[in-house]
Amino acid sequence: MPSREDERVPLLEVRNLKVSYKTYRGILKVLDGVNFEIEKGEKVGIIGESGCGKTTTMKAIMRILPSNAIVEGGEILYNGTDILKMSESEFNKIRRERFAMIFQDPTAALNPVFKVGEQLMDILRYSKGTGKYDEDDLKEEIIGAFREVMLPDPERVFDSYPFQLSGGMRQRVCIALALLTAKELLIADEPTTNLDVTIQDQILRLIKDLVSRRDLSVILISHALGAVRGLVDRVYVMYAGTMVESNEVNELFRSPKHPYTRALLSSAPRLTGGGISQGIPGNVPDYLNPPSGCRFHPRCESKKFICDIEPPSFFSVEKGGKVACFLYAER
Amino acid sequence: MARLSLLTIDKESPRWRSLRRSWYRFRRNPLSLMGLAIVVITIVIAVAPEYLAPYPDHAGYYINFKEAKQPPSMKHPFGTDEYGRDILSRVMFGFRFSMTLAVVVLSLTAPTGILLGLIAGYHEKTWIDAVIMRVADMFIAVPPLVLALSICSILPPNIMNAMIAVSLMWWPWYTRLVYNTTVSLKNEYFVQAAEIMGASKFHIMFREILPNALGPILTKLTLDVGWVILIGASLSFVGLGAQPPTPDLGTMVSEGSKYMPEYWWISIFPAMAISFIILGFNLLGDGIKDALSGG
Amino acid sequence: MILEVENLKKYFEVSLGTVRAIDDISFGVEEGETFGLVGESGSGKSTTGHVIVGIYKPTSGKILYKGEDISVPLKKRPIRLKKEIQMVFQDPRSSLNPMQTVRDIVELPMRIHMKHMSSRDREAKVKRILEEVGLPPEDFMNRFPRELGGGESQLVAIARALASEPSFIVLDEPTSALDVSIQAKIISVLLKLQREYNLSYLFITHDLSLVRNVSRRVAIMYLGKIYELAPTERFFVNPLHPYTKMLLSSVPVLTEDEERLKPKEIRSTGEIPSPMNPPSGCRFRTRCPLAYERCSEVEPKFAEVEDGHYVACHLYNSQS
Repeated sequence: MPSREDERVPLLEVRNLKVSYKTYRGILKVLDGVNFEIEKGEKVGIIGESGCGKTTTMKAIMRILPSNAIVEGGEILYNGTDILKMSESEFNKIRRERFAMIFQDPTAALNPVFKVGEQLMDILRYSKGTGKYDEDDLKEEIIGAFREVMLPDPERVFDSYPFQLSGGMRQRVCIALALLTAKELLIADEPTTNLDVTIQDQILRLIKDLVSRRDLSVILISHALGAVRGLVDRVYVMYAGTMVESNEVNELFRSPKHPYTRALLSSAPRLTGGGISQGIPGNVPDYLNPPSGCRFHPRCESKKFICDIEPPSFFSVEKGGKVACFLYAER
Repeated sequence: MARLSLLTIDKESPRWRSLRRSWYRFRRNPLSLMGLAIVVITIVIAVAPEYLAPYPDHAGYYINFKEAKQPPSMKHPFGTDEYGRDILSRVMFGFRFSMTLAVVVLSLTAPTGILLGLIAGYHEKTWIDAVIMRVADMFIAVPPLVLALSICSILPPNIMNAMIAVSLMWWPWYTRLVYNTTVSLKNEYFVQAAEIMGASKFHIMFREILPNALGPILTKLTLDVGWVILIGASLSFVGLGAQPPTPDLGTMVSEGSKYMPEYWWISIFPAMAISFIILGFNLLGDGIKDALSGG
Repeated sequence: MILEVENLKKYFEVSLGTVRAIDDISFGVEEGETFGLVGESGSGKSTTGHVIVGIYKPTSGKILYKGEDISVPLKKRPIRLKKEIQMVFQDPRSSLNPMQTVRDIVELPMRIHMKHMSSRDREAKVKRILEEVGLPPEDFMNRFPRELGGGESQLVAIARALASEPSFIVLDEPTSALDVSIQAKIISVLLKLQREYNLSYLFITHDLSLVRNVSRRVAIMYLGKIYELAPTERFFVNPLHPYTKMLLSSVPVLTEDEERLKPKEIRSTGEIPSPMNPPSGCRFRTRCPLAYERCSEVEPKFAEVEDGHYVACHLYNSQS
């Protein structure tokens, strides 16, 4: 039986990615060797609290990091080729034709001075690559996408300005756009965080439905732990610029392994009651002077001697999970 | 989120610490430093022209036709004017006059304008707001120079009246600035929190709102020095401000214009001095604005 | 009851019409309890907190604090009330004056209400309170708000609220802007303080899982009206109103136990109508799968169905 590695190359593989930011206070060493991969057609979630580096990772993949960011090391392999080494124009082609991204704030993603339909036509044209496209055809496609995301009265939405639509509708427009332009990979960065819970639920169900019909690969980023659960197959947990655990989604929530994951999950209030924990002692690390070895060790109850000396690698545990913690290192 | 690294937090007073931080930001921009240097030079000259000028008595009545209209030389770096007076010395005394004008005008208009703007803004949509702001609007509506000129033409032309004229048209800009800032700050949660806990109106206006408006005010003050000096020089230029032989930069430009272009130095050096001062304050003002807005 | 709200209404006149933010609600908070007020955007829950605290004047209705009628805005309230009732806001950063140190901020209520205290007394008390909320005074006293993290800022806001020794605190989405682990810390501090000082909380939030774990009773608001009010356990285990069920079914949860608790028969549909033009009769009827003719004609009465369990729905109130 051939091993998984030589069966097929993952769609996207991030290897040991290190990214820092240059600020006037000094260098913020944010990403400290991020490892993560996604197969074709897979749906992966990344959960972590604010500042842990999830958005930086996504920006690195889409190559939209700000000018003060430095990629210190690592590779991002798309179908085996390192996109960090590609030229601007080469990657541009891939990004506009194969990838799509849904951002956290739909208001910021849409240009307020243009009608929604106009903007989307521009973007759709751009994403299809060079060539002439019939305006009416493009419009048809967009209206069709609006119907799929269940926007009421799609024609009217097409002719509206963003401010005339509610938050939920705007986000649905962005999702429609992403689905029109995403051929292979969809990255959704906190797509429902600013929305009401009932709308959130509708939109997540919608994304799930649409994604399954198209066999898209999806990376869903969220700090809301429960939001990813219904949508993804596998979850990565991120802390202070490193991936600390990954596992099949239900398994992770049922049986978290990494001390951070455990502490995080026990801080989340349960609908069934039972009280809340006191949170995690200590504070998130200062990226100017991050802790040595494992970045979680100052806050970890199970800290061992080696934890502040060496950063742990991703050790395998049962059911395909991986944990970056010496508690699980093979002897 | 990354916690800020703390530098000896409890060893020094917190206000000092935040001042130091602003200074670090300010320092980073070479243009701001240049502005600061120019302003310092200006102030030094304005404070002590008697000691710095090579010919201090040339600032008053002095006539020596033998030395008149001399071009710039080692003896007279800026040349001499039609009465034989050393222009460099007169320019230095001119600095004093200009700075005095700016200090007097701004120390009258800024506090008044700020106070009125604060009160009007905090009492937004009441009669207090209406009265104050409409009066301010009236003064703003008249073009500044026209207002100053009309006042100066009623009153006898001298320094004092020039200052009054300029002050009258200056205060509403502070009122407007502070009004807008106050109205927007009024709805911030921290102001509401103070209201909920029962803080007095006085406290809220002066201890909650005003400190947060200081940034724009300080920037405006600095930039205004240049403007006041320019308006003052303009008034003197048309003969409505300082009268000869007072060494005022505007007057000097005006008087010297008769001798252009052969005896160019009589007008040009005072004009350059005006530009110098304004440039300095503008650069400084910009630098302060950048340093305070987070760098 | 330390706080009672009777037939409270708050309407806002805006250029496009009237926004009926609060449209006849009644409830009470018992001394020492946490009363949860939940709802989505446009529900009026935040406005309710603002009216109780005095930022807005009620359009009609009554607010009673310890039996006294306080249905007036702040400027008409006596100063002793402002000592008793405090508020913690949703955005911790903007609830602290950026030009003041933590010490200044926490000290202010003392300067207003405890004028007999000397500067040194106040400093000592500030230190004590900071310790109680879990912020070491030596480290935090002289910091400015920009030198604080989100959770720390909120703890300072809580310290400030405590400084006047209040009895009643309105918490308006106090942890919505914070990460889950920091939220846990803040909540545990709030609960500890409540036990120690017998504080009464009005806890406003949209997070149902959170409210399950902090409040003794819960009320749910939709477009300015309360549709269900019950003791917490009852509310979650036996929800009656269709909107409650819809909201519960939409909550993202982590475990299978929680999944089982969620009502399955009603899933979320539709958008929230504008508060300027609410549907006639029952406001929820446009999204309610169980709506019938009566729902568009008559507004359902808010009535007690079981002990302490109130609902406003025609399905349950035969006489409405």
